[in-house]
Formats: sequence, structure tokens, C-alpha cells
Amino acid sequence: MPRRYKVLTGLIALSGSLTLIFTGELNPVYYPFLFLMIYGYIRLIKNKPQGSRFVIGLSSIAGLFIFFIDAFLITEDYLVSVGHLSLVFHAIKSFDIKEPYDPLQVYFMALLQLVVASEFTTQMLFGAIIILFIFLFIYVMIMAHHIKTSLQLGLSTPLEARGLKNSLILLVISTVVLSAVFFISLPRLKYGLWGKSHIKGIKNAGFSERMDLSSGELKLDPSVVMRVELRPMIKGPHYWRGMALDYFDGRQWSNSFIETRKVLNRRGDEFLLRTQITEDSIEQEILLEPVDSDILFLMDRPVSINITAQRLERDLSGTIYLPKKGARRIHYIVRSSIQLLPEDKFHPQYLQIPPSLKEALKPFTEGLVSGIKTDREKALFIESFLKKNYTYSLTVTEPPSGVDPVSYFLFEEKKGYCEHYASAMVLMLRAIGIPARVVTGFSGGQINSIGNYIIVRQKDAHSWVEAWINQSWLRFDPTPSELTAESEPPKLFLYLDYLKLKWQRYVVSFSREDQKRILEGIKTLTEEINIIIKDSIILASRAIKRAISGVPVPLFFLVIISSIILGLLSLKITFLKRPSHKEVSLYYVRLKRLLKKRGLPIEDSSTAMDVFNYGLLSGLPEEELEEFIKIYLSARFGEKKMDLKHYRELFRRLKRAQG
Amino acid sequence: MKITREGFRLLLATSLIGLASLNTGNNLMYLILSVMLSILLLSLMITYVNLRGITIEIEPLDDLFAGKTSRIKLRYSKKRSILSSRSLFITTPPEGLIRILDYVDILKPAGSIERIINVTPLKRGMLGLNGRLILKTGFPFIFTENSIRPELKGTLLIYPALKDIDMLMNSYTSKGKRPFTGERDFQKIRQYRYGDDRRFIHWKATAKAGELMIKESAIEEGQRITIFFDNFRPPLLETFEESISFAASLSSRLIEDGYYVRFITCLKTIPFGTGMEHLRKILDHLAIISPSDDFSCLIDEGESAGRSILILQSDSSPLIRFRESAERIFYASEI
Repeated sequence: MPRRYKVLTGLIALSGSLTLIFTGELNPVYYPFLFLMIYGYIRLIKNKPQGSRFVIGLSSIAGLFIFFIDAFLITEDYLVSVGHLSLVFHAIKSFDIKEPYDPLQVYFMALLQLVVASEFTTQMLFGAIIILFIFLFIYVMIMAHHIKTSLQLGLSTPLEARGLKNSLILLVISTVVLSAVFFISLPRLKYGLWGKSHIKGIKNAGFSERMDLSSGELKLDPSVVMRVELRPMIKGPHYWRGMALDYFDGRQWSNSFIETRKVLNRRGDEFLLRTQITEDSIEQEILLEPVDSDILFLMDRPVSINITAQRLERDLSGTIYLPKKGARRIHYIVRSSIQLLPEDKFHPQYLQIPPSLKEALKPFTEGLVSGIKTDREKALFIESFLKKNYTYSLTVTEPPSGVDPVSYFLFEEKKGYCEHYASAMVLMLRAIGIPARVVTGFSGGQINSIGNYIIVRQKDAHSWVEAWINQSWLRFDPTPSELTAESEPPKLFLYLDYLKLKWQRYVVSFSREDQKRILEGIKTLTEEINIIIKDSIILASRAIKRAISGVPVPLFFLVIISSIILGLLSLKITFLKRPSHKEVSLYYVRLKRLLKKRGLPIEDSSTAMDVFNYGLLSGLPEEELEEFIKIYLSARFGEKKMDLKHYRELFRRLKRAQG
Repeated sequence: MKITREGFRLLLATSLIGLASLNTGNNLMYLILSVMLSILLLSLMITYVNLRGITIEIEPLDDLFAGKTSRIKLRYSKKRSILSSRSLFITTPPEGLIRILDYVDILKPAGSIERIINVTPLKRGMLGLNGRLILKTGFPFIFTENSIRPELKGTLLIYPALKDIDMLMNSYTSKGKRPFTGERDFQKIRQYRYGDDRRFIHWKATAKAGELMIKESAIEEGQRITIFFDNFRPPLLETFEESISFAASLSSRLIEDGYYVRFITCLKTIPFGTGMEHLRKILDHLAIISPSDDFSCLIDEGESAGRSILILQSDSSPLIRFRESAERIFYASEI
């Protein structure tokens, strides 16, 4: 086996194994097998003896045994166990590559690893590895072909695959292009069959379906939660509403309307949230990472949601639910109204407040808003009061036992984060009889100027307030916003994130609807081309009509026919310029005629040698005659290229010599 | 077009990935599936295109003898095309008279390559070349194979194996003896026989006799020899083949020694002659000679005049009648 073949085999095994390891789903206990595999390939490349059949066989049986224990007792996940097994088998195989066909097992194993990894990850790195795999696989398969041919030829040393650089590049490009075509056109089921995804959602997301004010610290996790394209792009801050929380038990907020979920009406893939359609709307194209939640994030006042889902549900608090937790990346388009739309009447639950808190908060809040007339102004004042008089802090101390966290925040600690601010405002509003609720979701985000979209991260998780004022839910955000200002990240990061967005949107989240859109696009393009052609023909015919108006019809046809004849003639002239058999023979036949005219016994059957001999007899110059005959013979029978000009010149000279 | 064992494995793996993709709806799995399908499709397409527009010509550079390694020239040409043909494997079917094995790494568009290879024909005979060569390729991978039998013009004639006949013929011929070049002393005038050199027709005697008469020289008569080869119903094909090989070797040896050799079988008479060209005439006949079933085996009695060697298949042969006049008799079973 050529050294390069061994190196490539090792690289393929390594790329498959690393892809699997990078997903982070494998048990690190199995990582040493990777190093063992590398050691095995180093030995192979150095032509060290391979493992004995007995040891290899025994190791394989042990590997299988471990696999079953792993699958049924330890991980209890067959896919993870297959990943573990592939690492073990790669390591074993690296000591057992003896025959040129042995590496084939390695390639299929690496392929299996890629398949397993595809279930664990959606990272763009996977795409890069696929391209690397294509390159390595094609290269190694070309080498395998040469090795196979060498075996068929019975050669002891394999044929060298020389000068294959261009072929390799061409093959890789062709494979990538063809793969793209296949990827776009392969039929897809709308929801898959019974397979369940192994991709785990983002754990510890900033967003939570319950809000516990007793927890001490807020983490600033930069992981991307979603990417949003806004059409039109409006100025921030943007709020991505998740869940509304109405019930406060003194420590925790929760949603008591969960059980009121109802399935939304749909029109195809579009779920309708309102019957009134408004012209002034904002379209949000959202790519939501797999988060550990079944809640959909969107702007206030949604009108419709376009999503590939079996159903969507909404509860009385306006929270939108997916049928199950988002194990995959979700792509959806939401239209939200800019105008305030009339809402259903509020529920008395939105005035719920623990009695002890009411006692403390009512006089405090009433004191604050005394003299303010409208509910809206009261709410705005409280919002401003909290912003100005309380300090934003990610770290807060836990309240002493028996003290509720809101009172502790308002009267003792006077510092906290969004949850404290939102809770305090909602309870203050409720204390003075204004229905309110806490809303959790994401706010802000970073605009990627390269792709003109918003990157929302876990650290953008936020809580704010909605108050029922003038028959509408109005949003208030009492949390000071100074800390949210951020400097623009490096351009390279923005480019990479833009690529990630495209990767996620057009590869990971590619759907049947995208296929339909492409088909429709092709159809439209074809129709447009047709129209352009038809229009051009009509325009051209009109122009011709205008040009020939007044010209007699026979004259017009005369011009057309003359043009055709001239065209054909010019074609013939071009054709004649090429030396044909006829032309090659033409001057030779003329020479024969000349000699015959001189009385020499030249017949049709005379050979070229006869012509040469008789030509000499008639006094033609030997050198030129010989060259003439040679050119004729090599062009006529040897199919060699003829210098027609020189050939003609020779004939002219011979003719002149003949007198 | 054929899918190889490795190709079937890849196809199976691709099908499984296809099922898994449908089941999970995982686009990354679809991506792997697309790559696999592309590789399979490219393999099929390139393997097919790789053999398009290739022509082959065969030209033997030496006379081909059964069992003897000789050289042949193979000329590969490709028509004008966009792509070169790569990794071409040339072979012959397992049955047949000759085994050819060659490999061409690259054949550029509108280009040609000449290769000289050694071949060892297995047995004598005439080989029609059309469809006799298999042009095979699996390029670029190992998943598919395509083979064609290109159109070839002409035939290859494989002469019988020439063997060492010293043991049998030592007393009769002497290897390395200079060919006869002596004076042509007049001995007698006789009737013209088919195969006689027309340059020696005696025109005066011919005019008198009213039929062609020929001048015969003394040395020439001694150097003329007729080989009667019996191809009438040989009892065993194996010994028949051996006798053919012996006849070819004998003819070669006699001509080499300067004899004028005439070769007569039940089917054909090759007149007296000497030199390589004459030997080729005999070998041409022996290359394709087959057992005769014709009872007549019409050989004129007069042909037995002069020196002759008789190669018989059995005593039941009609040629047995030349036994008396033959200098030497060889039975196929004893050769």
C-alpha cells in the first residue's frame, strides 16, 4: 500500500472521529481510543507489523461486549453507544490494515460517524468537515482505484496516480455542486417519520417558564438563542415576547393560564392569530436555536405565524406554544401589528397579589402616584421611579427568611436585575388596582451590520411588564437600560455569524416549503424568460415592419434570399479553406494531368512513385517534386496536417518548371 | 456498466442513510446522503464517458507463433472530446487464442498512444480481431466498472509452435547449413508441375510438346523436397496438433537449410519454394489447417516424384499410398 494511501486513510478515520467528539455527546472515557487510533496509524505509516489476528479478534469481541453494556445499561442511548463503538473499532482497525481493501471498512466507519454526528450537532463546522471528507474520500478512492487496477494487472508495486491534481479538483467541485443539487431536490417528508432528534436544547437558557426571585445570580451566557431578520428593520430596543406570568406566590411567578391553551386556526402553513388584518405590520423571520422550551418568541401583537408545525397553541395570556419542546432549530415568520389592537377583556387573576405584600405596597405606591390622574401616567411614573432609584446588579443577596424578595428589593437591598424590577412594578400596579403581568422573553440583541439581522443571545433574556390600560396591554420596562449598551464585535465575527445564519437557514432548516419556493422561482423565471422572448419577437417584428414599410414585397424577399445565398457562400468559402481530401488530391491530379499532356504514360492507376519517376523524366526539379509527393502522400494517407500554402507554392513552382 | 462489490456496499450504505434521512428529517443527514449519491452518480457518469470515442488498432511486429513470446503494437486513439480518458485496462476474454493485458494511464482528447507489448499466443489459428479486446475502466473510483469491446479491423494469424526437431531430424538436415546457392546444372527436361519456377520453362520443348516443359537442374532436384501432410480424419486431435507443429518446424528447418520445399495436404498444395516468404505461405496454411473429412483427398500420384517426407496420422489415411516413395515417414502418434 502506498504511504499516501495510509496517510489518507488515517486522516479519514481522524476526521470522522473528531466530528463525533466535537459534538460533545460522547463520554470522555472513550477519548483515549482516539489516541490509540492515531498511534495505530503512525505504526501503519512507518510499516510496523500489524496486530495478530487473535488479538484483533479478541479486541473486537470485547468492543462489541462493551457496546451492549453501554447501550443497555450505561447510556441507554443506542446512537451514543454506536458513536462510542465506532471510536473503539477505529482504534482496533488501525492495527489491522494489511490488505489494500482493508481501509474500505475505515471509510464506511467514518461515514457512519458522520451520520451519527449529524444527529448530535447542527454546527457549521459539520459543513466544513463534510467538504474535507469529500476531498479525502475522493482522493483515497482514486488511489484505491489505482491499487485495484494494479492488482488486476498483477503488478507488485501499485500504479502511481500521477497528474491527478486537475481531476481531483474537478471531481471535488463536481461532487460539491451535484451534492447541492441533490440536497435541494431530494424529497422530504413534512415532519419526518418516527425518528426523534438527539440534539439537546440550550440548557440553562436565560429564559425560563417560571421566575424564581430567590435565586442569587444571573449568568451572562453569550450563546446565540435566535437570529431575527426584521422587515422593515425598525429601531430598538426590540422585545421578543415569550411567556406572560400572572401568579405570584411570594417567591415565584408562574403562568396559571397554561391549561387554557387552544389550537390556533391555520391556513396552510400560516397560523392566524387575529381576524383583523392590518396593513402596517413588521415581518420577523426568526431562526430559533433548540431551546429547552416549547414557547415561541415573537414581537407583541402578532397577526400571523408562518411555520412548519403540526399545530400551534395559544393560552389566554397570549403565550404561543409549539406542540413539543424545540429539539431542532425552528424557522418561522411572524407578522406583528404596529398599531395597538383591541384585546380581549382582562382576567381578574391579573390583580392577584399576596395579602402581606398588598399591605406593604399599596400605601407605598399610592404615596408615589398621588396626584397622577391616568393609569398610563401612573404606570409611566412607577417605571421611571424604579429606573431612577434602584441600581441594576447581576448579583443580589438572598432576602432573610420571612421577607419576600419584592419587599426586600424595594425597601432594603434596592438593587437587582430585570426580574426584581418587573416583579416590583407589576405588584405595585396591582396594589393600586391596575391589572398587570410579568412577561419573560428576550430584549435587545445585537445588529449584525453584514447581514442586517439581529443576534439574540441567552444573556439578552429579560423580564418586563404589561399593564392593562385603556382596553389594551401596554408594555413597560422598569429595568435601567444603560448596561445593555455594547461595543460592536469584530467584523470577522459578524461575517462568521452571518455565515452561520445562512448555514442554519438554508442547510439545517431547509424544508419542503423551501423546495416549493425554489420550484416556484424556477417557474417564474421561465415564465419571465418566455415573456421577454415573446416581447423581443414582437418588438423585432414591429421594427422590421416599420423598416420595410413602403419597400415592395418582391424586393424584400430578394434581399432575404440574397442574404441567405451570401451566407451559404461565405460558409462554403470557410469550409474550402480547410484542406479536404478533395483539395489534397486536387494539385496532385493537376500535376498528373500536366505530365500526361507532356506525353508521359500517366494513367488513373499510376502510383505516386510512377508520377515521381515520370516527373523526373520530364525534367521537373527532383527536390521539389519529392517534397510535393511526400506532402501529398502524408496528407492523403497519413492523415497528417498539410501546409496548404506551401503545397500550392510547390505545385506552382513545378508548373513553372514544366513550362 | 457494472456495479462492483464495493459499489453495492456504498449503495446499501446510501440507501440506509436515505431511510434514516426520511425518518429523522435531519438535513445534515440529507447532506451526507447527497454527497453519497453524487459520488455514485459521478462514478457512473465518468466510468461511462471514460470509454467514449476510443479506438484501438493492433499490429503484430513479429510473426506470432503459439507458445512463443512476440511483440505486438497497440495504438490507442481518442476522438476530440472535452475530457481525457484515464486508467484504461485492456484485456482479452479468457477463451481465445491470445492473452493481451495492457494499461493506459491517460489518453488525451484527439490524441493517440502507441504501446508495444509482449504476447504469448496459446495456440495456432486465425483470430478475427473484432470484439476480441475488452477495454475496461473503473475510473475514477472503485464502485462502478464499464467495459466495451471496441471495433477492430483485421485478423491475427498465429502459426503453430516451432519445436526443436533435432532428435528426429538430425540425420536429415543439419542446422546452420548454408542455404543452397550453387550452380544450376542442367539435368533433364520434364513436364511442368504446379509450383515450378516459371523462369525455367523451356520454351522450345514446350512448343514441341504442346504443353509446358521445364528445365530441371541437378542440384535443384536434390534440394527439392515435398512434405506430405496428412490431415485426413486424425484419430486424436492432440497428436494432430503435435503433427502440425512438427510439420511447421520441419518446413522451417528445411527452408533454413536451403531446401526448396513443397507442402501438400488433402486440402491444398503449396508449390516448391524457399525463403521466409515461402515459409510464411506454409505456416499460413498450417495456422488454420483443420482435419479433413473429405474421402477423396485428391492428391495426384505424380506429385510423389522426387524426394518427399510423409507425415501420417494413421495407416488408414489415403496418403498411405505415398509411403513407398517417401524418404521418411513420421506418424503423428510417434512425434
